[in-house]
Amino acid sequence: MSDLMVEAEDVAYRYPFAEVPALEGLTFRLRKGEAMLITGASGCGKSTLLRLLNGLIPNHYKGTLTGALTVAGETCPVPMETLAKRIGTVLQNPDEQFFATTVEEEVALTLEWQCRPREEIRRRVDGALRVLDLTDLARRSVFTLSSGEKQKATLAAVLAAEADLVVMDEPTANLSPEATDELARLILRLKAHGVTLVIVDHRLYWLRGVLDRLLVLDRGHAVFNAERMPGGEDLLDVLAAQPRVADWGLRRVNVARPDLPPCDTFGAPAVEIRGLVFRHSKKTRLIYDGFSARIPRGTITAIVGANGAGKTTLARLLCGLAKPQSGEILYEGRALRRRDIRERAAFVMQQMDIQLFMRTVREELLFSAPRAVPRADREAEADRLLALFGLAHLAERHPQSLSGGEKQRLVVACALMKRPTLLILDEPTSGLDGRNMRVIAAQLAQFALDGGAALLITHDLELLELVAQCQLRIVEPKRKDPEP
Amino acid sequence: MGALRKGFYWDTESLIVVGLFTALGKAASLLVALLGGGMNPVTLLLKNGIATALLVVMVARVRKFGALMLYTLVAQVVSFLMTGGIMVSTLPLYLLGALVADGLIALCGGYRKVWAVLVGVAIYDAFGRLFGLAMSFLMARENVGMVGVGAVIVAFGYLGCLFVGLPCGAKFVKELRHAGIIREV
Amino acid sequence: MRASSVKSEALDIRTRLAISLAVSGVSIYLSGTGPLLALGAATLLYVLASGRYRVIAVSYLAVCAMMAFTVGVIVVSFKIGEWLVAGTAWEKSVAMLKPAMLGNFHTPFLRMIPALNVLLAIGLDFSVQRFVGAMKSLRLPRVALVPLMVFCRFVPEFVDVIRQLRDAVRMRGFSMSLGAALVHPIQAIRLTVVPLTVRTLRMADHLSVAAEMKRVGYAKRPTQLLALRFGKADFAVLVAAAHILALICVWQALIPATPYGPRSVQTQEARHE
Repeated sequence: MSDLMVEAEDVAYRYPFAEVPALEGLTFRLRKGEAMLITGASGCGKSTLLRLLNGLIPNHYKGTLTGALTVAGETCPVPMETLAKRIGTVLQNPDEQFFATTVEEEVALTLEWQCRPREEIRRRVDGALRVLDLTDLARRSVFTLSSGEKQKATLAAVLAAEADLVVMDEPTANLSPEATDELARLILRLKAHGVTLVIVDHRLYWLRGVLDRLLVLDRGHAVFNAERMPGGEDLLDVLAAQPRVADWGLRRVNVARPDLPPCDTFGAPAVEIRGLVFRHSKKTRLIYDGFSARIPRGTITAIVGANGAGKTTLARLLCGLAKPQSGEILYEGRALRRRDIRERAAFVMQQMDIQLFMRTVREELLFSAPRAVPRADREAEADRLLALFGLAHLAERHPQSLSGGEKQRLVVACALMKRPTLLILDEPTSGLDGRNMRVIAAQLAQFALDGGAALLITHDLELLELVAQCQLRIVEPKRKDPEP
Repeated sequence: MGALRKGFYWDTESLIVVGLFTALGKAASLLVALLGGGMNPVTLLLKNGIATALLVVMVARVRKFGALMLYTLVAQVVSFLMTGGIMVSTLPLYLLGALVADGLIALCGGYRKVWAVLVGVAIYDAFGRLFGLAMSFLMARENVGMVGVGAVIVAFGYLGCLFVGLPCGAKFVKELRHAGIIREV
Repeated sequence: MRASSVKSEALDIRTRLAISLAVSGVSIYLSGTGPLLALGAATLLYVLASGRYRVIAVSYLAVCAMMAFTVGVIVVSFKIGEWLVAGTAWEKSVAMLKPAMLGNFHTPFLRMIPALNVLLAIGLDFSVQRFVGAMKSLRLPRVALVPLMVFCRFVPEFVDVIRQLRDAVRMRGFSMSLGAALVHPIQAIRLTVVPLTVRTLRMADHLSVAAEMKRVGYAKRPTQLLALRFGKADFAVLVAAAHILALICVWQALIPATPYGPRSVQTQEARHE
């Protein structure tokens, strides 16, 4: 029996009504127990290839498929119910693929809907939870899990379904660097269990030592397609040595956690925090207990802290969206009302859909400017930002119809429309390719050069390495011993 | 289309859309109630307006005969599981109302026509309110005045549906179609 | 009452739903003050077993306030009506309406109490887990099960999304308040409905893809991993509740009732006149 898990021969695919094919002339092989990375700039066709592999094309998405594609021994097209038993998919955002409310139920879900006997489901669920060290979290609500734990729960569901091929779409987009490292170790463990993995990701560095095959796509074509030879160089190094690698819009293959100096000693403060005390309600724990810091002007500061330490809470406090129980937040040395703070601060949140309200991209930018600015000035500023962010040709498009990278650029441009004293960005580059990430990084750097203070909450080490100049570390307040 | 999908009239996608819109409706009504209580006229108009606009978008997205019936079934079972009560026993009546509204949409040209959806939702909302009023009559039959107060509140809510929810719903459906978020064909 | 001695958390949700349904139905049938008071007292004991005294008290206060408001509105509107028609041909008609409008406020109020109690008994310990348990134990078909699964999974998610949306709107210099809605009603709806519907429709797309891959919704009735629980306590409570409700119904049947209320009330009024 062949040990090939995927075999593609001159595969091409065109979406319905599309003028050009999304994929063309793809040929590659993947053996059982191997790990393969598919990468490339946004719109290169990697998501389409992933959909071909997990059967969504042509079962869910119509279109024209040519060439020969065999997945898990089945020649495409294969009915979804056949493929679903052999292939497990981990989507970018686990929150958007959980149906159950506890880890155990989520892991059991596929088996339940396959109408397997209860005893078999119990045995397979327990086994999968054990392999991924999730037994203690079995009864935990999915609402209380960290991003890394959610990712593991999704993987456990795939394992319980005994999938031969696991397909992962941007698995690190929402993960902390620590959780990303753990995922890499987990992939090695799955490989050792004979599981074949196909990973689609923009971030490359974390897959060092993990990959057996690497495929780079550019406008639907394979521009780099290599297999690791036994004892040979790591595929990421081979990729980095390619002469045209800079044209492919990729992220860097070598990224290190930057060692940043503390922000308190870094120039004149734009915003000063004094003795901040905050908790969400009387029943919840204290998040800040006398916290003080100075956020320097003309600098990009990274907020650093463990998951749940209160990074986003600090951002909300600094923007006047939450009220501290005590303490002061001074803007340019002055204590302001929260409404006035909101005029001087801009906050780019993680979720893009809920930050876009208007009918066109231009309207969205104009809507973001302070009402006091004359219309002509607002329009001039909007035109300038449209050009800077490479959105000018999309000015009349509906903001919600843009791609992820375009939306991300638009929400940052909207924040800059306010000409804020303090700009806070929460994961502004998650899920972005190298090209889009560098556009945002360049505009951030310019904002700081113009004298603005920027605060960055991000797990994206590459962005930190590129632009962050200092750090603001948040440490959880020490819990007082309960009174006797 | 998957092979199994053809076996069911209600594909999983439609069931998911209905479940999500029911959840959104509950969360949104909670938000509006928190903003200004449930009894003042502005909140009443806004709450009903938002609920109707969401319903219009949902029906335009599901685009299948019986969309309102399915929504009714889910919404009634949800409220029964959350709080219990007698209302669930009136489910057949509500389903009948939804069937009439669905039938009207089909008669007016189908779910792709925005105005047909608006007519259906307007009728559906009216039926729902009438049944609710009938229930409040049963609860307070000894005092006509109390039923009258209920009727005024219900009528006011219906104004929110007619003059805020339906126009906004129609506008948003057109906009979402233009943005490619709701399919046009 | 034996039913009330069992802590409500110990009961299967189906027991509580059945009690709720039966009590609500019986309360609509009842019209006599005595039977309604008895039902109110029995259900109050049932809900007090939850131990959430403060919330129960607040809910009672809220219902009383709502009732007082309604009564106030009726009395004031009637007085205005009387004043407006004084000396006109309508005067007699309005006077005839008086007993129906101002005569009996207490029966509807008493009827509301048992309904409130059983509602609190279920609503007070609402949790997503409890909801899922109820949903699974009812063995619903896929057409109801899939939307309900999605519902209970995404209500908390949407509450969070709405919170974030509120922040996003405030950062653009607007607020999601009653005042703002009054000044710019159309904009208020745009700022809420557009992002929420887009988010919901995108979630629907992603979930549909996930469902297709996990085969969720592609069987008529899936296996349920977690076993159902219907214990002796449920049986005992159901039997006790059935007896109590039957007794109350018999009591009501013994009261000679009129179509629109207990004769006792009307005869008392007649006696006053």
